Amino acid sequence: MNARLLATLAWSLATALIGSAASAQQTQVYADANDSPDRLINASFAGATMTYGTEIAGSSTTGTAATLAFNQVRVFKSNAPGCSLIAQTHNGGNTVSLYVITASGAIFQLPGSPFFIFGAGGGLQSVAWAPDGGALYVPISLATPASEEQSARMVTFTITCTVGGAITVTNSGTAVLTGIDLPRDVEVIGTGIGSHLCVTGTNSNNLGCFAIAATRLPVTTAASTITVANARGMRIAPNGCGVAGVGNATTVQGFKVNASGILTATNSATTATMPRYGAIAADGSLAAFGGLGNQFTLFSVDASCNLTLVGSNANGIAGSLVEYLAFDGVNRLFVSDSLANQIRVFAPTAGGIGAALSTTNTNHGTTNAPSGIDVALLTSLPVELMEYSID
Amino acid sequence: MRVKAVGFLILLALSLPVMAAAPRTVTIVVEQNGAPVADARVFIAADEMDAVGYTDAQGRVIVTTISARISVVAEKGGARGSIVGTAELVTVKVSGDAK
Repeated sequence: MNARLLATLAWSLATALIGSAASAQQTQVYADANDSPDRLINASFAGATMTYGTEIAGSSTTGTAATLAFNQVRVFKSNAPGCSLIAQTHNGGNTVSLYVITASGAIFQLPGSPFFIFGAGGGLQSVAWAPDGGALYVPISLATPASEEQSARMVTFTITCTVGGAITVTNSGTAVLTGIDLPRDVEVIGTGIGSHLCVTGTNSNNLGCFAIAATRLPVTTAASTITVANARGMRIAPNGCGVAGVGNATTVQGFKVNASGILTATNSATTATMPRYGAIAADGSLAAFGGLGNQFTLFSVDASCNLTLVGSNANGIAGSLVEYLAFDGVNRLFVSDSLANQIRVFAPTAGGIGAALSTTNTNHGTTNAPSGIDVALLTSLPVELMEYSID
Repeated sequence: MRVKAVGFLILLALSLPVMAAAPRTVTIVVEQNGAPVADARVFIAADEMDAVGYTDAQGRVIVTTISARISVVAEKGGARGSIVGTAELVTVKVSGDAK
């Protein structure tokens, strides 16, 4: 066994057994640029330091310096190196960009990306991954004529990825979600392919969960729905606790959903601004919502899925909008300060939001940015172990 | 560059290559007791986007949207008003102390 191999094994052992506190806490950050071209902002956050990488080319959006287009970014965290994926909507061209996080940690657009979704009409906003990453759900939020808008179509892409092999993306079809009008946000619950696709309907004032068939397409009739006026963003934790925004009032609705897709409303809570998009911690203990203004609001969530207001925070930038945020796996909250080109990081608890750990401008070239944001602990994005050698 | 510095704000939807819904231009006027309110912060909510800007000396903000209906909230100092409109001219009347 030579010195080089020994060093490599020692490095592996140190990583596997001892771990690196900094590495374990490092979070990868991905955000929409809200600009044309609608690039993917990406960064790494460790300690209190945010380090931005080179933006990745995207597609087009209607976002401007004063207009926040509702484009989302969501990460699928794969257990298989090279199979973690990022999805980003682009409302300008009705496309979705898919990026792979390679085994070495680099980000590349998949061949064929951005994928064109819909021709006549438009208005993509949200996406959701199946728990196993084998499907991506893309609701057509806005389309014309109105009859098409009301049909609330859900496009399903199926995706295969093998370690070291090719990634394939297939448009597997479209399903009409009965009773949902202007599908605003989407989430998949369950494990594996997922048991249900849950969708908010802004114009139908509801939230519904639809069973997912073996084909991976959702069925067309909801297992259940609950009323949520002007329903906006929505997130569901693995424990079944969820929160949905009431877009025309300063209110969010708590709820729970069981394995059969049966929704039950819990309590409502007050927000600082009219809610838009939210986040819920992976352990289900905290939820946060942004809204139409420069504030976000934090809630604690109990085991019965009831919300309790913790507090709110304003970024102090009058011309900005704080609508998108995301929790990482250790409950740090990443806040997208849209139209201010800024991302802030907090370590909130049920006792308070606390001061920002980090406030940084992204490396995007205009103040448009950022829009939708998602994050992932580096440890949840397995990458290739780089060889370490001593010469 | 802050939106405030733009003065007469034009929120353009820059690229809508495949959207069949033609963008429409909406002029928002903020008034108090019939007089225009300059430098009022205006939040605009549409189906496809949210926007924020400041009124010019004539109390106007212009927005381009594909939505048939928009919601507008205007505020300056302690004055505040809101409206939901479908017309090409939407007037928001604020009440309270606008200083």
